[in-house]
Amino acid sequence: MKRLFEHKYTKYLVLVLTCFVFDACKKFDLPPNDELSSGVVNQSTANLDGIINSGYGRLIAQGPPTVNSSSVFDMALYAEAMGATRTVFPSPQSGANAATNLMYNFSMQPDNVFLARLSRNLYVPIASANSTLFYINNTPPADSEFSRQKDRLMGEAYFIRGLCFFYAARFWAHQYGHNTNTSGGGILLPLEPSIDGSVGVKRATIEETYDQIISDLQQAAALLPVAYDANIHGAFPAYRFRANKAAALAVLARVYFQQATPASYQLAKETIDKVIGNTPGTITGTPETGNRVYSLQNDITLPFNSTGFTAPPANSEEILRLVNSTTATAGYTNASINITNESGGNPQSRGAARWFLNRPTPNPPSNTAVTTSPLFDDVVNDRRFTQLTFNNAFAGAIGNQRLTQKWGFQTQATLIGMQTFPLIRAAELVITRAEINAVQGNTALALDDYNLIRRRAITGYVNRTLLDPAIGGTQAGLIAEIVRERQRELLFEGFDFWSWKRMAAYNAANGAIYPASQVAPLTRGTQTFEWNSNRTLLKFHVDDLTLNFQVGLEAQNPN
Amino acid sequence: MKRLLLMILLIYSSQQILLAQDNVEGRVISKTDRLPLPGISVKVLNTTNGVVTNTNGNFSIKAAGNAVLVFSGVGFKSLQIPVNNRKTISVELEDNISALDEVVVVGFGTQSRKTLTGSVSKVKGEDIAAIATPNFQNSLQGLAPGLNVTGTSGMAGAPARIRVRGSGSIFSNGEPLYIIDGIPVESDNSGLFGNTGRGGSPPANPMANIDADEIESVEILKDAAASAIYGARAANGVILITTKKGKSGVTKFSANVSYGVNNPTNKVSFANGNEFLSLREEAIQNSINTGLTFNGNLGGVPPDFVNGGYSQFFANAIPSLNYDENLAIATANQNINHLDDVFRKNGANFNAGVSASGGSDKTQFFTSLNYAKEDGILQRNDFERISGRVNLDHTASSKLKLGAMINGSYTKNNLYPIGNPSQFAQGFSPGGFFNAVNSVLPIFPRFNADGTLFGVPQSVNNLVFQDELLFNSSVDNQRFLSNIYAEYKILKSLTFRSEVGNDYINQINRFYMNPAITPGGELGTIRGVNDFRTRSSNTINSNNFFTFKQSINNEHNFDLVVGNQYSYNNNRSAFIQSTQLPSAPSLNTTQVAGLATSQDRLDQYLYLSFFSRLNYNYKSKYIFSASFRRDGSSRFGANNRWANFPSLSAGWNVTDEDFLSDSKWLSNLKLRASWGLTGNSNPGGVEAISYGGFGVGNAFYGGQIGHPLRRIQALAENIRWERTAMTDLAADFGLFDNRITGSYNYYIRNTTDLILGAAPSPTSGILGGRNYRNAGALKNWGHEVQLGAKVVNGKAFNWNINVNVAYNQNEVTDLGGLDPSAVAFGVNRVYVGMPLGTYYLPKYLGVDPTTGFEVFADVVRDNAGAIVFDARGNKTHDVNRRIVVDPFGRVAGGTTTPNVNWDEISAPITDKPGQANWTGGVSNTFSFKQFTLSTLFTFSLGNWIYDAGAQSQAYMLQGPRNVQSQFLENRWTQPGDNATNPGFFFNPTYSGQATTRFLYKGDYARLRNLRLSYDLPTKLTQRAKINRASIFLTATNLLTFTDFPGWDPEISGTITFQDFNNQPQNIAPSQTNADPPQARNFGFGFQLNF
Repeated sequence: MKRLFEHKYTKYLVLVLTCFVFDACKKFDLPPNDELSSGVVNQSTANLDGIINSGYGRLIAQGPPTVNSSSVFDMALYAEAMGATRTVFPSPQSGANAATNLMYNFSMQPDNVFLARLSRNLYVPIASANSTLFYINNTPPADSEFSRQKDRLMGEAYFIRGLCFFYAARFWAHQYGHNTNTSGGGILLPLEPSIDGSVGVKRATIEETYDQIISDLQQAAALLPVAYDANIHGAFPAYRFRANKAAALAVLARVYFQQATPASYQLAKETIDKVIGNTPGTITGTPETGNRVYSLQNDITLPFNSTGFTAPPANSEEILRLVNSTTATAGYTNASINITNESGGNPQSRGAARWFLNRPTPNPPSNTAVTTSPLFDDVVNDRRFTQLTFNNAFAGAIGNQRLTQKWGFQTQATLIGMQTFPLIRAAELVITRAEINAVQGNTALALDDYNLIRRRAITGYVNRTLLDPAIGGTQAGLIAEIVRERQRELLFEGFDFWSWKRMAAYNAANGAIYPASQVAPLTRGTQTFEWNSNRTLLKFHVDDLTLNFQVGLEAQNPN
Repeated sequence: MKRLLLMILLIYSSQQILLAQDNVEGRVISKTDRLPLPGISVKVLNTTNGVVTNTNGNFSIKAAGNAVLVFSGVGFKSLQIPVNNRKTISVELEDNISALDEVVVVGFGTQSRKTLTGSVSKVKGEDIAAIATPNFQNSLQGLAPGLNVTGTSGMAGAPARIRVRGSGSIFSNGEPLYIIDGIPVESDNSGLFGNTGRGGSPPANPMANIDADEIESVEILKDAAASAIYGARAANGVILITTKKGKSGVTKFSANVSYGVNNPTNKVSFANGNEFLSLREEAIQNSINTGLTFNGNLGGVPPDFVNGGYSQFFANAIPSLNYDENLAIATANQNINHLDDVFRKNGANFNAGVSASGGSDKTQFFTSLNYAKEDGILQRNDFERISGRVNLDHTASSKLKLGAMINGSYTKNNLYPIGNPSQFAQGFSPGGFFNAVNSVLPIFPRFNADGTLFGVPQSVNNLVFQDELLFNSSVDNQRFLSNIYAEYKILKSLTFRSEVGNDYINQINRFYMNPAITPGGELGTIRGVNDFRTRSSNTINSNNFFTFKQSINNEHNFDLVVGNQYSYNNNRSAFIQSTQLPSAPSLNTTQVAGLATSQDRLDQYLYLSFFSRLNYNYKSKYIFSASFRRDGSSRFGANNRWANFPSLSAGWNVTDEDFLSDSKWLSNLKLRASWGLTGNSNPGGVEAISYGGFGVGNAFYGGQIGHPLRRIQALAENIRWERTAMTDLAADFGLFDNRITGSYNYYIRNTTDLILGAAPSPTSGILGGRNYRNAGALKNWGHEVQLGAKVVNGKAFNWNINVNVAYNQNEVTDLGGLDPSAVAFGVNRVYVGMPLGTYYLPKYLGVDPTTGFEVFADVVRDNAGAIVFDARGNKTHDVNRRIVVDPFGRVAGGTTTPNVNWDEISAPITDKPGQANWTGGVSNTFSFKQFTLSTLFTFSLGNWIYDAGAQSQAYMLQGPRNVQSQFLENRWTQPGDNATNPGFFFNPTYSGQATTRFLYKGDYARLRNLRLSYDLPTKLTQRAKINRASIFLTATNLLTFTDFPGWDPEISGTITFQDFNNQPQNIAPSQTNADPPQARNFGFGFQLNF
């Protein structure tokens, strides 16, 4: 035993211990406990699908009702607030600092947490898209599934990125047509994922912004499948709520339309034709999008009350629905309480629905039906008014008085908010095509689509002609009426503000195509705001100025 | 002639006696512990004749009857004893407490106090064990200057917060590094998965597994000279724990048993039922008189106000009852003090231990077994520990030494529910202390008429959690610490030592709530909670180092240490939490019937370090020391894995100079100075580094099974250590033959590269997490004084006094441009130019005599009403702009006036800091013959406590909420009253705001320990072959002197989530919210050594 501890053995002991110590060197790369490193994530097609999946999820994710949320649904409502006009004036939504209120007054300050949330909800999906594209282009997965899913994944990434850039452009940049090529007038267009928290790019011009959006959506349309195919996508069940080629084209049409030039209008129309056929007054399938036939639902509530879970294919009006949580099927609880509560100015009232309607007073008496509306020309038969706007009989209505039912069917057991949202539907394409045709002077074609929209919405509707008194027999009259029809059809879906800017920009470049009432400055108290007023742009959040050195203070939107 | 003969005979015989060299035998024992002392030198004065005591402390020496024997040994006062013709002599040697040759443990070695250049405080194990608390950390308070220990609450098993020379971090962990017998051990309080304990219970403290009876000494390394050899983990100081070792000689046994009773140190007084009912009437009447309306209604008054409004209290409990029935219940139950249901009648402490030590010249051992049990002051709260240890040292040859230290321990901590409302809403609280003081009104009965518990499940009843079939929450901790070493003497002056240690912790955390007591009961949505968490942590550590000691002519003395250290920790944790349980109690199974969530995860870190230290002294007079450590850690980004930590120090023993050698009064003076760098690499709750990777997002898309992946954290590959540069200037001195000793230290700790994080920029696309950076800086500077004096040093009576006082000032010097709101939120914020713990609150000015409302100061504004910021960009209060606030939280004066914007009128409170500046302790030891009386006072001065509990108990709310008695005194009742407390109004919407009204001075002094012991006379004990037997009485926390009106001024910041990295103890050191007070303990016990 004693020999064991003699000198030479001890030397070995020292040697062994030293080796043990130095052996440790290779273990320095210990992975953080809760992260999957890039080297793991990009090894599987399913992981890339998961990244895309989270991008969609962010677009529809909601905060609790006590905070100002910022999903695409909320973005629609905020845009409504910003565009609230024209003939009416709202009393402030209770809670002077509510985001809706600040957006309505164009007084949102750069340190408002809502701004950060809104920006994040767009740039998180953009980052998902960029990560997916980055991995596919640089370190693609080696599994057998990859080749089957590659185009679809890339297409979805381009779709999400283009869609989100478009949302961001509308909030933070001027309408295309104003300062279009001014340096730094557009938005941040990161095309690679940020890893260290810095975006790494500066603000582009508006021209570059739109070029990127269009390029992304064109690539999406080229790569995305025309339809959900169980044989190919069966392993990815959520796919049926994700973009297909038609969705990419439909959103692309929306972008062209927003660009507001004669050429872009034409491109918008051509793009619409690829989705719903090229015969105004009808909706047909096209080979371009796999002959899928979209339609306008006879039940006008269906596009809004569909949960998206039970039978999404049956709702053929939706081109793309975003659906978030598995809990959305828990029953018809009144999610709409968040946007319609008129009782005593509940501070949780986010949507301030009353602002959006032409009404004689901001606060209609409780329990009293509202029976007139300057916007709706047939409040008796137009189901968009009776079913989607006012429905005194709706069980559970607060004070028996609801101003919109459009989102009143949305289901959410815990009142968290909207978890499902029809991002784009066929009716928008139809009414958009009607407007373009009217502007282009194709009045008969425009009327065909106009009547298609009204026939679905109004019980006992008889097709109108150019000579109908509501139209007045002129192209200008038709344009004015189609614009109003667009407001009626897309009420509460977040189009008014963008339409105002679009029409004003079109007029500025092409003369008085749209009626003056539609492009009149917005009034807020004693102030008025032109369509190209700097104040109508959101500011970049202060965190982007201080934490992202690439933006820099000089890139903030001016007052 | 006979006389002459007799005289000659006497002279002769006396000469014979004088000249005789008889054997004198004897035994030397320690006066302190009465154990035999081997190795003590015994010499005959003025001769070369000398021997050394053997392992039993015995000696035998030839000495003349009139000779004088000199006894001396390292660490003991020399003693001269005349033989006086005795054949046997028993000697007791006294510790030489001021001796410069006291040996202190330092990193990777030991040093004599005389040649030490660093700041090291030493606390003896026996001083720690003398205090009746199972957690040795709590016992350190007041025993070492600059070491500030505060219990986080009075609950048994609760962890302590320890700061060495102030708080040195914002986001990272501020606790010191613990080293046990050379091995760094895990000391982080483990909130599993960021969970601070179900039901709001405190996290488990792994250091509670260490038994004070096993500790020989605790050394606290405070400055860089002492701690830099631990480099990247030493910025918050290092606590070295050395466990007891065996000594050669006969086997010695020791046994001790103590028992004590626990009661709370303080109880806050609340309105009793009678007072509460009349106060409520008064509040309603005040509301009516003031005409307070809200939205046109007499809003302050409940709808059933005509009936007195009582049914509001019962609405949740028994909604079916009418007013008369409610009132009957209320009036019949006016004298119930529900706090009685929460506190134990008498808690108890029990501690018992046995140990044996001894060994041969070659092998020594120490072994012990200890059991401790504390029944806390609160029901269902107890802590139990069993701990065993074996320490072995073996000299294998003249060159090789081997040894092992093995410690196994098991603790079980039954946790008491804190029970705050948010926990209840989530189904995690069955009531508890918070609930008892807040919500269970004195007019509530305990039981319904049918004998069932009142108020269950809609609200909570404090009897609920006392039934283990309804509620239980516990943490079991097993810890196994092992350490083996081999030391080889390569040359006479060169030694190599290799140590390998393992620290294994296995923790099981169980929480159960029966469906009957979760909100909604058996028909509710939660329907019971079963939560099982477990983790096993394993740390492997290896130290390998060479020690070279060489002396040239006894003048130039070198001591060089060179080595490396390797540390790897692997922490695997998992939980399963299920709800919607079957109603039948299931104590022993986690079988899941309803909804369940689960997770497991692995955390790891690794350190690889190289270190060296050179000590040099010239005749022990001029001393220089330098150390250097290079640390690599996996905890930091690839670009900053490695860092260097140097230190330099010097000392001068001035009294060794000729010009002072004759000083009558100055017996010792040493001047010291040191500078060095240390690091903090413990990022606390959140990993500082990130690979910028992905995690599973929480938003499911598409309503289908999927795994949404998103980037959860920004890449932080450049994150590096928080660096602390410390400068220390010190003087050690002894006066009048070291009867008075002391030391003074001045230090500056500059911490830079603080790891701070803000949310990633919105356009980065990274959701959640923090974008960490090394951005901030802060500094601590202060003074420490320690004084010891032997006031009386008599034969029968001795009086020693030790005083230590520390003053620390803290200031944040840089936040890297981050806004204070990006670093912390809530009541405490972090401002440049101000100390950590600065409050951010509206300033309360008093009571408006006309209305009885609270009055606050506005912030300074310009003529246009805009807030004026000072040069640093902070708001300040303007006491001339007064804002009267009505009970609805509105600026008083009408129904349409806006709500007060509390954030807008909040500003940093500069005159009421949250951190104590002055801390310290005073200990006295009086001994008279066999009696020893020792006292320890501790104190803390300079901090202000935010009492969130007082805030919740200061208003008459619509829901059940009792009121503290302090707010009833001198309150406003009618216009014109110049009151100190506002009037009470029925208060449906405004539940009180955090304001300076609830900031209280936190100064206190506490008689921490009082101990009277009696050593049985040696004559008696020796007959029983007992070396020493003593009995003792102790009192812990006997007296507290404070003006703080809350539960306990000893607060350490237990409120979580004050900053974004969950380190409230750095940022919010003085907040309390119904934290249970410390226990007062009266105990007795005995100790036997044989």
